[in-house]
Amino acid sequence: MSEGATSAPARLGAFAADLYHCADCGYCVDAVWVERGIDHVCPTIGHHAPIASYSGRGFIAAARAWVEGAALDRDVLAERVFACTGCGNCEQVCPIGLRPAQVGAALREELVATGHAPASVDKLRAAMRTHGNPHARPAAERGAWAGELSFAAQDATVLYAPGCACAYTAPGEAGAVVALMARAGERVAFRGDADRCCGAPLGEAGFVDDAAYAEQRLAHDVSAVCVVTSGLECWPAWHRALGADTPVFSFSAWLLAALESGRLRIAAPPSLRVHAFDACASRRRGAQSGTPDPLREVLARMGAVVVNDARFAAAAVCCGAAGTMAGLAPDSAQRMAQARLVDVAHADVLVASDTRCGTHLAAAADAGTAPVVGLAAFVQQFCTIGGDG
Amino acid sequence: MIGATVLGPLVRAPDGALSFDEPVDLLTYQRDCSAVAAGVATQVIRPSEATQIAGVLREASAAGVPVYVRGGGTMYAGGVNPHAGGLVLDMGGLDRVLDIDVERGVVTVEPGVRFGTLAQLLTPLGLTIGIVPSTAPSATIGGAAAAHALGTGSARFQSFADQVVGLEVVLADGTLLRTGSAAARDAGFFHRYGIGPDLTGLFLGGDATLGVITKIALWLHPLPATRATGCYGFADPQAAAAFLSELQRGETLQHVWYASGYEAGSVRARVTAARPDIDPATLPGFCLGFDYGGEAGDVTQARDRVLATAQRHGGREFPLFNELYFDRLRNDQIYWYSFAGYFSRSRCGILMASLPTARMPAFLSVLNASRAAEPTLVWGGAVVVCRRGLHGGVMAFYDEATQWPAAQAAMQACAAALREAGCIPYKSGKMWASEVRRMDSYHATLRRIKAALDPAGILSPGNLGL
Ligand SMILES: Cc1cc2nc3c(=O)[nH]c(=O)nc-3n(C[C@H](O)[C@H](O)[C@H](O)COP(=O)(O)OP(=O)(O)OC[C@H]3O[C@@H](n4cnc5c(N)ncnc54)[C@H](O)[C@@H]3O)c2cc1C
Ligand code: SF4
Ligand code: SF4
Repeated sequence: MSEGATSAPARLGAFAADLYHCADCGYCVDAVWVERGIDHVCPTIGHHAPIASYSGRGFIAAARAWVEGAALDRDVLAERVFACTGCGNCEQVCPIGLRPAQVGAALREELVATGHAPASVDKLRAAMRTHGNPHARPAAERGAWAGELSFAAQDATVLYAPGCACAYTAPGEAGAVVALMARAGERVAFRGDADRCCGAPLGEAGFVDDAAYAEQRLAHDVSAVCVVTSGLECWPAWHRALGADTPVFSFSAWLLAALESGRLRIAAPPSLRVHAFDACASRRRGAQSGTPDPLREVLARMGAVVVNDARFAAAAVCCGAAGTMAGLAPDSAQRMAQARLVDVAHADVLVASDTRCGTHLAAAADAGTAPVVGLAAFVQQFCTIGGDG
Repeated sequence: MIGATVLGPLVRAPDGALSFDEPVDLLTYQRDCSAVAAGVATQVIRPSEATQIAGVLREASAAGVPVYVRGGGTMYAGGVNPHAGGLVLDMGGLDRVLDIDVERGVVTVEPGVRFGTLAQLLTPLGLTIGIVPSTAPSATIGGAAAAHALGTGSARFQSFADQVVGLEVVLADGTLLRTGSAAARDAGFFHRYGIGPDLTGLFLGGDATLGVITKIALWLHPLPATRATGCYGFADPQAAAAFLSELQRGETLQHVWYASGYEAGSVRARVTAARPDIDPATLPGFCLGFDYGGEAGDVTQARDRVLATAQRHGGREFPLFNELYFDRLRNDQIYWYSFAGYFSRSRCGILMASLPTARMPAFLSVLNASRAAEPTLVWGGAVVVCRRGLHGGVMAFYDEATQWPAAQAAMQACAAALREAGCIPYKSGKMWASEVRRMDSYHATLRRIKAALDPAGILSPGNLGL
């Protein structure tokens, strides 16, 4: 449906400088920047549709046209901007520091607000409202991974919030996290079936009010000394919900601290060649929060042999798990994962610290690909943990 | 910015080619990086084979549909802007590296291959194609050929066109033409000259007015084993120009892979942004950066010769500029750092002109006059040193929301003033179209060639003033 001029969309107004300063250089579309290890910038352009309207440059052009009152088919525009994974690579390369990914996010919010979310995205919200998770799995099964594990009923030193992906799709990883934390002397609490989504997937999809409500519920329901999560996208939501006084860590950040303080000790380094999965979320969150996901530092401290080049971590391209891509175009999301698995050939194992990436990659891997494991499972399976823990 | 309405496709999409006409998708095909007005196409076709292009051009010729050709869209002359509407060929689908023939020293690629992609393949082999523009991550080989690229390598090899062994071109009537040695059936690309007039040159710098390039063969060169950078400050551009002339005459640039010069305003802006404690009055009036390349001994020798020559012209080493700017520019290929990062986060209009080295002071006077005439824009300037002569770029940064008319008028006035000062257009597109039209017999001849090769006038109307 075409819609003509409407009042200027408020959320796009904040980006006026970006809309009028974009140089149309195309770096954010498909650049191959050898000096920075960037091999095709936008995963959506590479694996979904090679048309610039699917890229940051396209979002800026569309947002500007919308602000200027051009008649654009909003449903067509929605198909373009919801295919964005939100990886932020476009902002990483923009030579003049513009914010194309954030313009894309603002467009998604506008499209949601004007009733143009694609069907798969609407389904995601429905699942969240009905089940409290984006996988449309029963809320009552959320704590199933915890099985017979025991948790601290009081005086907990840490609350473990696995995140929806970990709770529903990677129960082994969640269990391994809890076991390692207990080994390091933490008194671990878990909210059981009361645990629910932090709202991050809703925020990614442009449902800002629903996301804000989910965070308010966390703020209201949860009190903890410290929170550890296996979801890199969950980290900022928890952080906002609980405020600056409650430390919130990604599991890798917690593990690094435990290794550095000697609460956990690796007695013998893993003998495998490791491909450290540089997640786009890790870079994004690192840039925003100053608390990056220190997967490579953890592996280095454990003495693991990491075979993939660290210089290129800053340019990590999305594996297709992030944003709304996997729901909107599962085949494209799978192609993105396969592209990230190509250079894993020289490793015995791929270690991912974000469970959403890990699960998505594992589903795309074929028999010849090195196994994909979560960070906690890797430590449990392949490392000898030393005495004092 | 205009939101087009759906008019439906203008020509049939060839089998296997992507074709689209959604206004949302057409928005990103309106223009390149230039300060030239945008145009609105009705259809985009993204072919993956030369034969598909032949079909499109035949149909477009018969129907009189304008056809513009887009590579990376990084040019600053508006060549890809579809002024007359019609359709845009997006060359991104022809992106195969066809052959790396180390024995002949020739690499053959499709035009949509990006410089970055080619470097990924050639660097591990210790090879380079010689001339590489600073937009390498995004610019295509086809765009560089059709718009006369320069940059890394120019001090040694001059221009991108000089590196081309031969081309495959689709003409407006669908004819597939091969030039150079490849004109002879099955001979392949190994020599550019020999068969008669150089038809290759007809399409280099042609801005898609005479044909669509579908294959390019380029000479391969060894990558330099050692690299080193150095900067030299001079009291004024006159001294710097005399220094450069001497280097060029003496063929001293053999082991210089890139060299560029910066006027006083640009030097001041870069240094004081990083070091506000430095008194601008102590900075040189002109600065040159050199990126040397070759065997270690050659590099040392070249550096010594350049320094000795600089000193004869009153120059001295300027390591601060190297540290703050030039070395970084060269090692990260951050082209924007060379201007935008230091001045403003905005679009900029760029006018590129060719000039004899001795004319550099006149070129810089035009820049300063433009700066004085339109002080609301942020102006900058630089020259790229070639084996012979210079290419000078004048840049004007503007806020498109408020300064678009001022930027356009200032660029036009600057173009006219540059020509008056003896600087001629380099990379024409539409930016310099009115100046190209003034080149009487040259332009008249170009028009006759155009009429012969593209009688319906479908190919990139407006470019080169055609
Ligand atoms: C900030 C900045 C810095 C720059 N620095 C440099 C530099 O250092 N050196 C330099 O040389 N340039 C530079 N440029 C200009 C530009 O990036 C280069 O000239 C580049 O090579 C153009 O390639 P492209 O693929 O982007 O071409 P496009 O912009 O897509 O096209 C350029 C012209 O070629 C035509 N064309 C494209 N493909 C074909 C084809 N297959 N057949 C026929 N015609 C075709 C187009 O119609 C157009 O007229 C710079 C530009 C900017 C904005
Ligand atoms: S955020 Fe990632 S997927 Fe989205 S436009 Fe930018 S580069 Fe593409
Ligand atoms: S990289 Fe930045 S300036 Fe270039 S097209 Fe993208 S948003 Fe615009």
